[in-house]
Amino acid sequence: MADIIIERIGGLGGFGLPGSHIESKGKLSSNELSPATQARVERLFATYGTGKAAPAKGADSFSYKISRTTVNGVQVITVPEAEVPAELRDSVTDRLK
Amino acid sequence: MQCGCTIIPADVLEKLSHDKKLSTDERKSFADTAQFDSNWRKVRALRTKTTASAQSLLASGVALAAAPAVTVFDCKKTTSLPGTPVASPGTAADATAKRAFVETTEVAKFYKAVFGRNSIDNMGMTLQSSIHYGVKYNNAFWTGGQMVYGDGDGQIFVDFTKSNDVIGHELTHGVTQHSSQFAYSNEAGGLNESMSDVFGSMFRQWRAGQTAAQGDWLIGKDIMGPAALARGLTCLRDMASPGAAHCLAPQPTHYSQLTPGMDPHYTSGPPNLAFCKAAKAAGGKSWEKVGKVWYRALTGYRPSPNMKMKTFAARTRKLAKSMFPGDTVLAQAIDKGWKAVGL
Repeated sequence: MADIIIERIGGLGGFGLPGSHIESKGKLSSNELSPATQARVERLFATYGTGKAAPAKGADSFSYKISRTTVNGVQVITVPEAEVPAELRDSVTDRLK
Repeated sequence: MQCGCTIIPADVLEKLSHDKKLSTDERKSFADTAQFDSNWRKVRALRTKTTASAQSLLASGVALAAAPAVTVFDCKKTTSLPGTPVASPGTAADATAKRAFVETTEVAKFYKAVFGRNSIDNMGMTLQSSIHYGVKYNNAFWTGGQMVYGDGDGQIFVDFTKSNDVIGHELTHGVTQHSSQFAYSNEAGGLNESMSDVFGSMFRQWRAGQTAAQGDWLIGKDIMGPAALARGLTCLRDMASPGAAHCLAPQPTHYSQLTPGMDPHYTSGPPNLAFCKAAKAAGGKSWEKVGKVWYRALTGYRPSPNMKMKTFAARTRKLAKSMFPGDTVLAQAIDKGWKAVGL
């Protein structure tokens, strides 16, 4: 079961903004991630889990909204693209809506 | 990639480097990152100091070059920046490399010819672009030191160098960084993005020799792929009609619709519309008068990272009168442009 949802937002094209016709999402099961990626995900939530969104690095860069469901509920963090593990980043697909 | 570690606070890195729940390798990695982070902060501080120092030298006529060198690097579908250098990009067989070189060179000419600016920093800074970034990468961005262009996925987007306003847009982020230093959030963020759309669009009209009335005011028209076009999505944004259905990401048209925390690509709608309306009402070519007023408002003052839209609007109203005394048509055009969006 997918317990991690990733959404790509921002960029030059304004992905995921209100009214935007482009949507970028991916789903993953944390059990399917490599141990190294699992550890990186844990660190991302430890680093950015305080509720404060990290700014994108550089103008027009993407950010990623990562949410995961745990026994404690749903946690959501926003992370600059450069910080996102490739396994998560590559799970995201752009589509028109 | 350039260093991405500075986004993590130093104290967090330090804490993680001593976290016994992590492996030895992971702790070492965080310790190394903390050290690198510290060094990188020193480099950034030095770069800022160097820039300030160089700017004072510029006053005495010293610049890196009379016109900026333009370089192009090929990431070869990786995300490793800057990639490998492209030899003689102006005559390259790779159309993307040639286009990045030619249009970047033209943006530099535009800034020099119209505004008297010598490159991004007004000191002849080399203009560096990286192309073929990532695999089917649907974006272009400014890293703080260079431009980066993806190839697009071929469906929603095509090669991001194909719209010359996009090249002007990214380069203008550099101009903003080296002048007003508008932040990238809240009202200043909207103005930051708007400056890039305004000068990118003006550059496109300048290249085409169009008047404000002839320009289509579309942002990213030439990077829209077949799937987007088939859905009637003909641009990223439309400065003349920010909320239009043909925009991939429609924007608000009135200042009252903005709230703190909104994305800069969303909040740039009202100032984009204000510029477009002002340029059309003033008549002629957008860069001749209204563009010059906007340029002075962007670059002619001390850095103001937390600029508000009302303050920027007031600045352009004042400049219109001082730069073009007696030109009531221009003053009224700018005034009405801002009023139309609630500013």
